[in-house]
Amino acid sequence: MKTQAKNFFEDLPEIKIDPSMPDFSNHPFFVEKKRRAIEFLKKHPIPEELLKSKEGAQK
Amino acid sequence: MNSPTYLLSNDDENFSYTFFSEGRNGIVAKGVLFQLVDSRTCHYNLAFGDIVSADGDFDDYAISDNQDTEKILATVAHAVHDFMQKMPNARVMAEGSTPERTRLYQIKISKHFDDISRLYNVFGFISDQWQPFEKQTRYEAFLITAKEVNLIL
Repeated sequence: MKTQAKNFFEDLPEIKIDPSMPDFSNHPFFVEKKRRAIEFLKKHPIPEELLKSKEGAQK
Repeated sequence: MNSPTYLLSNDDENFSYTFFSEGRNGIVAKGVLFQLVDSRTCHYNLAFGDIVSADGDFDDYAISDNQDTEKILATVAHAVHDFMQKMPNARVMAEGSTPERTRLYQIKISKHFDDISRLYNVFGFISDQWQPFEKQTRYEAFLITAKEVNLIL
């Protein structure tokens, strides 16, 4: 399993940089997703202590 | 986690990625976007959808049924990994567009958790609270952070 994980993250194909790719970041579909995510995080912020805890740093 | 992935394109500016799913129902373009939702905490939202028209319209609920879910999710994982290489302090949140899709994410994260957790901390949201990800728990949303960053912090 260890080898598989290493292979997946290290042997991934190169990502093609395409400057001609349309910018869809302002598309209403994604703007709405962003709005919902902001709302969700405001209501349910993740506690900083959880992020830094040993429990968070899972084995 | 040795699933094959589709080739990704990245605009290298807006943290957006595209790829093409191929299967029995044809070719479906897909877009992945990392949206900054809180600059103070470096929180990003992972947004994902099908590009369903030449005008670049998106659909969250489209079911292409190309029998390539594993490959699609491995490709999204590749995009997440690439993004985290560029933004190692980022906290990336993900939620499925439907409970079924959130459940699918849950299943895939659980399946590959041993591999994922070597590099990333994974958290789940359930019953109004965040907690470290556990395989048997059915979460409503997920969040990942890079492990090295947390160790430094």
